[in-house]
Amino acid sequence: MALVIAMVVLSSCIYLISTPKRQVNERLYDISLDLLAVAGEEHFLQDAVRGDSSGVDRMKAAMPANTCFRIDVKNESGALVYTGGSGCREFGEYALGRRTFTSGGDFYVAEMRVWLR
Amino acid sequence: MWCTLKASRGQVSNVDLLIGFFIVLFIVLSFTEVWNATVIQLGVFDSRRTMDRRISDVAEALVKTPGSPPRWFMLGTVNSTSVKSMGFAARDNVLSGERLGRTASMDYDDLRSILGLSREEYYITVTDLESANKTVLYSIGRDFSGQKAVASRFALLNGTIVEVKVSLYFENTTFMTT
Repeated sequence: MALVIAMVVLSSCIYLISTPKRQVNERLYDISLDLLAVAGEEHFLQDAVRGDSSGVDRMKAAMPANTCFRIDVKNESGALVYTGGSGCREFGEYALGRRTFTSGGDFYVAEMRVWLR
Repeated sequence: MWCTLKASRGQVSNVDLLIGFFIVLFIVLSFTEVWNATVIQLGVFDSRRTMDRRISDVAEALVKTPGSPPRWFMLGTVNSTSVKSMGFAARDNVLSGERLGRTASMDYDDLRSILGLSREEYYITVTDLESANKTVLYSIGRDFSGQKAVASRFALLNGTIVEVKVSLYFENTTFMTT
């Protein structure tokens, strides 16, 4: 009985401690999808695959100082064909959003990591 | 000696009773204190979760949906009777200036009702992130002082990257600010 009570108390504590972190991650995940939608709408991703990173640079300049991001674009075979981002050091919790797109008839996956500093 | 011990077998002295009583009292008071603190903490977490969900829902609807009906900004009267939900997006993460302009001219309480808020005060800003001074293009609602919950989302407006920042102010509640 004491063991069951101890487990319930322990799991409640773990749940309560982890809750705010999860909320922050959900916010970051929403932001990662926003940035991917913006990049997709303005063809930043297609441009990046073709070697033009000016769109990603626009995003980099526009982001608030505390918001960091990194975009990795992989081709159909999973090889990394582009990587870029805000340039700030990656640390702590981040959220990862994915978006698929085509460029020149080829299929790509963009992965957007977003974190706060 | 033997006779004395034998005579007091099974009896408790007053000092022992008093010590025992204080030990039990200490345990009960400690338990009550911990219990109260836990209940308060649970209430705070629950409030935070509710607020977080609410502000996320509002921000999500504004940047992802056109609202309902989709062309609500063309209506003669915009209030909670004619508009079921509010949205700024012409399409996913692409905002429409007409919707923002119409929202900015709306009555504060009407908009609060459409956003699904009850007693919360709100303040929404749309900031041009690509301008040198990060110009605020639209400010909707009232900016209150004090604690608030904030959700930031990113979108496009006329080809420019903008930040939609939704702030909710809650009365008499403790919550986090992000």
